[in-house]
Amino acid sequence: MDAEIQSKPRRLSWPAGLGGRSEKTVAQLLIAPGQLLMVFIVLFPAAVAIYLAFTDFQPTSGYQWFDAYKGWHWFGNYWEALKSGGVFWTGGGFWMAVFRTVIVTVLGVGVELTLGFALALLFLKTFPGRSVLTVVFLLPMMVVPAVTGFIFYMLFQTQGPVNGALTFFLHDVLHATGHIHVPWLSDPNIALFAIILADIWQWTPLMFLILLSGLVSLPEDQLNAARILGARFSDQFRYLVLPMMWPIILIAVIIRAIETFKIFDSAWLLTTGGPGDATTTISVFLYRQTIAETTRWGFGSAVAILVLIMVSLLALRAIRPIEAAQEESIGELVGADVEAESVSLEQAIEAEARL
Amino acid sequence: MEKQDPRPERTIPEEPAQTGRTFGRAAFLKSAGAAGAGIAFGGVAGSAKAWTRSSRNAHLARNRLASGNIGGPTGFAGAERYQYGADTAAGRAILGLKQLTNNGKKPITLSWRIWNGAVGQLTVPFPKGAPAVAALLEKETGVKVKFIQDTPNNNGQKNLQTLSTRDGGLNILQTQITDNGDFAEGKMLRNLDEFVAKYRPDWADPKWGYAGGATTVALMNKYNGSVYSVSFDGDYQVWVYRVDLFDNAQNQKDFKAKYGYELNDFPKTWKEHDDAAAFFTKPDGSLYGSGDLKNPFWGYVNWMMRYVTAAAPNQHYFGPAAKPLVNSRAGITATKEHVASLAWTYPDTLSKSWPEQYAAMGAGQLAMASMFSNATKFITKGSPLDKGFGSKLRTALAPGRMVGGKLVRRSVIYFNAQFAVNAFSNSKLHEAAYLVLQWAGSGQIFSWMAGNPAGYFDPHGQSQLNDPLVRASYKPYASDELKVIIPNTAPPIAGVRGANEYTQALDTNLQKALTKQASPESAMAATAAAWEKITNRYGRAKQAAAISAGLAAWPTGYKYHL
Repeated sequence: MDAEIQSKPRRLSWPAGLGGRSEKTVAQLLIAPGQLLMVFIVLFPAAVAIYLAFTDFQPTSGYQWFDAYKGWHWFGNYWEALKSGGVFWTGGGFWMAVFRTVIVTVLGVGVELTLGFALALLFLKTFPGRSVLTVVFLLPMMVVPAVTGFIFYMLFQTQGPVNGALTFFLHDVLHATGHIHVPWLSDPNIALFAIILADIWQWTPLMFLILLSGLVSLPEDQLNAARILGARFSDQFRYLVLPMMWPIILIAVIIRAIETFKIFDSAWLLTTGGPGDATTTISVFLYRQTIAETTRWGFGSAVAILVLIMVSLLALRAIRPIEAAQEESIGELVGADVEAESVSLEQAIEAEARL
Repeated sequence: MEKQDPRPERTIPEEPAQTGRTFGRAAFLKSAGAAGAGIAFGGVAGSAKAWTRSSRNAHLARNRLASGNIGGPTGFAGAERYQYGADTAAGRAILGLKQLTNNGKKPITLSWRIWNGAVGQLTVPFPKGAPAVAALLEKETGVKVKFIQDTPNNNGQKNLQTLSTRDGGLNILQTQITDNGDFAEGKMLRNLDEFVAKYRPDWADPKWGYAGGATTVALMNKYNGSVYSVSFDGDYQVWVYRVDLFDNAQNQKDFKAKYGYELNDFPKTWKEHDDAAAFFTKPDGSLYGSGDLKNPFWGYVNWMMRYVTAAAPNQHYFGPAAKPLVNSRAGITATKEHVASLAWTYPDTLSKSWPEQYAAMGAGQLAMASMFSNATKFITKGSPLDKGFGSKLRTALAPGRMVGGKLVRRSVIYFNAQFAVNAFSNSKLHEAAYLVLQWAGSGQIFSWMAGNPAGYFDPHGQSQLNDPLVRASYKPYASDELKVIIPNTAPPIAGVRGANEYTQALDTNLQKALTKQASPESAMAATAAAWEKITNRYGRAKQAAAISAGLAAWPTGYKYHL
């Protein structure tokens, strides 16, 4: 038995009858159906979108999508998108939609990160009811986004609970007469923030979850050492926790930024992009252009490709600090004088073992 | 494509579907008990029903067709009103279907996409003793209809799927009047001219046809001069008002003292409307002068009612060569008035829709509001429209303007439920599908359907508005007023490709004007610019030709009272 375990695994020989094909050829043949399926699933829709983006195709054109060349448009759709902006803040063009999306992403993810981190730090210590509260805090992210949209649609009614709470708590502070009526969803200066609030409510728990899992995995010996040496909490946080958490924070922010950039469900349900265009984010813009208001699938494809390029560039740029952090941590493990690029897996394992 | 309403306010407050009855255990025991009792007492009193000569004759009369008729429902008092002879639109359709099915020996099955809240009018027997409409069709012709139910919210996307995939699985599709241009140009709708010429529907018939005659037919069923759909609804905008407020002697006296003229029973001009609305609005919010909607998707039709009355007989949306006219003085004035009307409606009206409006009207919080024609149908015990003020509501045609010595008053219709033959479906069944629509949409059958509370298709025809069942449901005063409103109804932007796009551009800019993001002038200028882009994209000549053909759908009369 021992001998069997210790011996090298016996190499499987190919059964006879493969027509003398090499092992590599057979392997390629075996994975070919899967690969073809992947090509169909991933590449085909992408190719169709790229093709349609060069046309002015609409399903109401009277011909099918593969005949879209009849309305060949070259880069007309891209040009139309790129030159459309409109009046600042209220305009309905592509760039204003991008601008609003960036506002939602920066504010939404920023607040989610801050709240999520604060909650995660609070939940690091044990206290009675912690596990129950953890589950409660995670509930919002389990709600279907469309339902979140509907919940906040009800909350933000002028005579809804949010204004009711404002009236109760701030009536005297604001010297208000009667019920406070904040038109959350119909004031162009406020409506976008209502959408951001809904996003924060739903996705702070995810940020909390990721950051909490990062915090609990931090090496306790270093934190204990700092504590014993008399480091204040702020110093521990600044010089130990934050640097060690940095890659996790980046990952959490990237995940949420990419998701928020595509925000649609709650935005559409709360305001349908209005009043006017005041809350038209990029996904809402796309939906309005392709299904809700018109069927400009050619133009919509061009906009979708522009968005894909933007998000990809953003992701590439955002991933760079993670790679740098990884390189740095491995570099520290094997010694500062060893260039990170040249570190092999064996060296890293050896260094870790030394520690 | 159909306009989507993805928001909660998309719920049109129309009558809930009664697509079937649930039969619970309690109901079963109750009926079983009753049946048992019937058997027991029947045994005592005798097993046969005691017929008298008159009751037997009445029973037989109810279950046979009236003399000269070849088809129609039986089994209830008054059924003969819905029966038809061979030389009627319904009769020709039935005879055509019988020929196609070889008198039922070669049955046909048709698939019909329909809103789930409306299907009951075709599948639920009404009144007591009557068959269901679809059952009668099958019995008379051997044509079986398979209903594929859908919600109004999803219907637009489903049609788009059908169009983009050229899906011929359904024979009859549910559309709206604003879709006809796009779907006809997309080749999804079968041109029905050939069948119309062959079977002569009664749509323009003075007795059985649409109120408004040929003009309404052009509005409802035609695109670019050809028939592409058949109307099954009447989404006319009706002004509902509290008659007690207008009849109140003190109000009349105070109004005259303030404005220097008499308070009419309902305002005849927009100026009078605005004065009355301001007069009735109370600062404490207990009464608002006018609750016409301003919210996205639904509010623009109230702007249209003001706009189209700026010229006699009508102020059109487009001029020659499809040039936009909304940036004219008429458009800017209508926009200014639309914005000003925020002063006499409830707070945050932009996020309010039909449910709030119907409830506010029923609770007596609104003096006037533009509503669907079904509003009076909902004045039933316990409904939102009968919270104390239902009996005080009356209906009227929208106010208008004096133009060249003539009073121009126009309502505007919304999308309206239409049915069309799917051009991608089996072409051998196109004729049968059309004939089913001609039959079900005929004066006789639709009058029978419109009175059925199991669905929300509203009446739009003369015979329907005279029908006792419909009048009982919609109230006699409202039925009579509809006879005035329908012939004076102007189209929305319809009968042209991209109708929904033009409408959305207008709606978006109206929202900007209402929320002070843009002035009325710049909002209308932006609308005109957007319309020009749309027109150029679809081809100016083609758009201009369709708009020109659509002029037949505009009313020209000035008759407002019976």
